[in-house]
Amino acid sequence: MVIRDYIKLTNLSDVSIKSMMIYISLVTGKVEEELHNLSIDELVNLYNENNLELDSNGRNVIKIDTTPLQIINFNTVSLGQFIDLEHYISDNWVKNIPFITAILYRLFDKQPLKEIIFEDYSTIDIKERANIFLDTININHVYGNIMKYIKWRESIFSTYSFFDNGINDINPDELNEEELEIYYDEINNAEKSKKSMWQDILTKVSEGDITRFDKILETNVILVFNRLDNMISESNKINKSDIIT
Amino acid sequence: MIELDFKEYKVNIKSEASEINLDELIKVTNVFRDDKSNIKIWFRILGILSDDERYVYMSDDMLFDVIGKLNINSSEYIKEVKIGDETYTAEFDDEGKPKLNLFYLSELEEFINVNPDGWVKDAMCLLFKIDKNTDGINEVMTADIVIPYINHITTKLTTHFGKLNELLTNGNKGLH
Repeated sequence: MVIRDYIKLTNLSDVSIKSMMIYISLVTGKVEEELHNLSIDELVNLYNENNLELDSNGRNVIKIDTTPLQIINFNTVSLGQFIDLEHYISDNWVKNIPFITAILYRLFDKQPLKEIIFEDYSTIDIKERANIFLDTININHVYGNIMKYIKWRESIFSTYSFFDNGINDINPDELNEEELEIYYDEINNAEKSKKSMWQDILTKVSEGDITRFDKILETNVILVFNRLDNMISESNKINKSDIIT
Repeated sequence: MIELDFKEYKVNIKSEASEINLDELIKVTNVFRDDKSNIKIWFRILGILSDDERYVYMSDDMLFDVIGKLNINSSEYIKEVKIGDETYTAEFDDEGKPKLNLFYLSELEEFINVNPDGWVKDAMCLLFKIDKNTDGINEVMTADIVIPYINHITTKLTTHFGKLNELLTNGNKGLH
């Protein structure tokens, strides 16, 4: 099943006859017209017999025609790539699978006895590749690695305390009216700061020097976050010592 | 047609299925669907079927007399309709009923969901393969032709909907 069909399938939200026919057609490869003269019982049976099971492993190398593309090592992702991926993941990631695939799978060169060299990220036309992937790449070949990336980025977010606004730990059902008001204010503030989060991180790490933005965007995301974490810790220490003196 | 004589004026009320055009039938079925109060229902229906809005001055007795004379029903399937110079034919199954295979049912289900107020016209156009913009559909598709089809469709969809609902508790969870 190509990525386009998978996205179509995930958009089938209701249990209608049409949805079931589309579902069966996508999962089994049968043409929809073949299903038109089935009885409702036959349709239901066919639907029950065909669960969609995606490969949780995926392939490390996919091909467009004969050109291979390899999954990157997530630990080598730059801040710029991480931000681009966040853009596609945080806004309905299933719809954006072709774009995520276009960022995670790259052209590469592998010489004997040498490290693999991936193409330069800045030269990739993500939209063009995403359009090609949509109708050519089997969802089973990439789904597993996309899920692995999503897990990996979650571990990144949970590693660094500056991503934790503390709101997720609060149960609104346990709050009184006044606390609830503050809680919703905090959620609004968090949403606002999310919009400028990457800009704020760049400004902080570059110490306000805009000419360093490009360099930082090309730097490994873990290095950038480590640096930011250190800067925040140091600044907290200074603030504490100011209070003591 | 029922004629109500108010001395100063007369009001005609369509009372036979063959006198009621498609638009009027759709309005009447929507009243039955939306309204629960009996007197209100009948007043609204007579509003659709009468040629003069002064029907509202009728007495209780006249109202019940009219309701008793209404004969908006039909059970015979008409297989062919002629609109202008064209003849349109509906497909029938082995039991002599309009063919409602999964293709038709899935389309009809969507019509009802997308256009709950006007799906009947969509349905008749689908079953007779008529372009919806064809002139004359409203006048030719009278209630006596349409009602048996509506009944057949709603019965079939209701039965199937029950079976589909079983999926919510049993079997494949792919769609929900």
